[in-house]
Amino acid sequence: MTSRLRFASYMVSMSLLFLRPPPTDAHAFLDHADPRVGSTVPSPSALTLQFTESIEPAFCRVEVVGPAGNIEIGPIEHPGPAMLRVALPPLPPGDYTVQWAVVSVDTHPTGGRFTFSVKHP
Amino acid sequence: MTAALAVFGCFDLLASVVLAGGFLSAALVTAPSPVGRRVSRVATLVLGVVLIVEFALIVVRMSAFGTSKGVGLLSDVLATRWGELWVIRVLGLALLVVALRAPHPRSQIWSGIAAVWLMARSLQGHAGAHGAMSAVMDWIHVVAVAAWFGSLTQYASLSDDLSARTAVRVRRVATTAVALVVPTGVYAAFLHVPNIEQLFRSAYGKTLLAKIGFATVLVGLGAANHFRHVPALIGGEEDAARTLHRAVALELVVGAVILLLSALLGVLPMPHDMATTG
Repeated sequence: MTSRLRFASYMVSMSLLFLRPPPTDAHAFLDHADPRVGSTVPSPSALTLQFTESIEPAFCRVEVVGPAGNIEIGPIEHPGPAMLRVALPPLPPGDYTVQWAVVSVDTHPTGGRFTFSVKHP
Repeated sequence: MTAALAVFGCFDLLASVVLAGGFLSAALVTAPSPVGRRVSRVATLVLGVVLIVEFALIVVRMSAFGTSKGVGLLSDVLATRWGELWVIRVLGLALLVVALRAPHPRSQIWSGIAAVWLMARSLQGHAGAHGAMSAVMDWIHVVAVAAWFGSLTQYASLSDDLSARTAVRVRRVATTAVALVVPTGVYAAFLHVPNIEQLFRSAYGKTLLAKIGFATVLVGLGAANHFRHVPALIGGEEDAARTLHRAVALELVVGAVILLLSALLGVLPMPHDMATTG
């Protein structure tokens, strides 16, 4: 076998060892939330945010703004590597905006906002 | 902030690859020349400064998101995964500095330590955030690049020893490196770019295309060395050593451009970012 053929076969065989991976987000984005984005729910006792990538809990912020302004939320809990949870006080009916900012484990910051509504019990 | 991280990320990658590559070259090719040792020492110095600056930049970036200040902020950053890996990288660098000062370091052992040390860098970045498989792929990619680039750097510093035997060893390292760099690079491209359209429309995709273009040029230059210049040196052709030296220098320049683009990819927003927040 010539060196050219050996070179080519080596390249092909090594390339075949690897398969195409599924694409990933590379930064921590909101995967889903509870209450769900845009949903109308009875007053929730907590807000849960699940991200697409692991995050650093010491560098995360969550704010909830209601019809009467900022809501006093509980401390940010970190029940999973990509999850945040905050306790909520009883919320009166109305529209609420959740603003979040997180830093992923590779130190890249991301942020966003979404709304949900609380209906009359 | 992003521009500063990109610039220092470039120096970080270049210095890490030259330093670890020097140890890999010592084990796989030949002992470094005095000039080669000096290049490695400069790489440790550059990396020492860059690691401190990068830590400071990350502290500034994180300060906008945390509640702690001063010493508490430093402590919080060091407690992050990035911070813990930063400490490992600093300790690893200190260890490699000791090895460089040793009169007769055991090249096989230190090349292994240098290769493992590169894993901390892979875990710190995008690849590490995606899980173990992605981090291992990135690590293989970076180790292969380090072996290739390091061997070329050390070879270029061998002003008096352009022996055919050394050239053949560098050729073997380069060929193996290409066989590892290409599939792991393709893996990373599929991981970070979700569709072909984003490859052409996003800044990340365009930078990746530029990197692929330069990488193709580099593989072409490597092929010229593999099939033409090294056989000419083995055959004792006139001026073969000088021609090979020039080709290696050109490879190093193209390789440095590729490392710059790679560092840029580490800080550019992913195509997904633009779709979500744009």
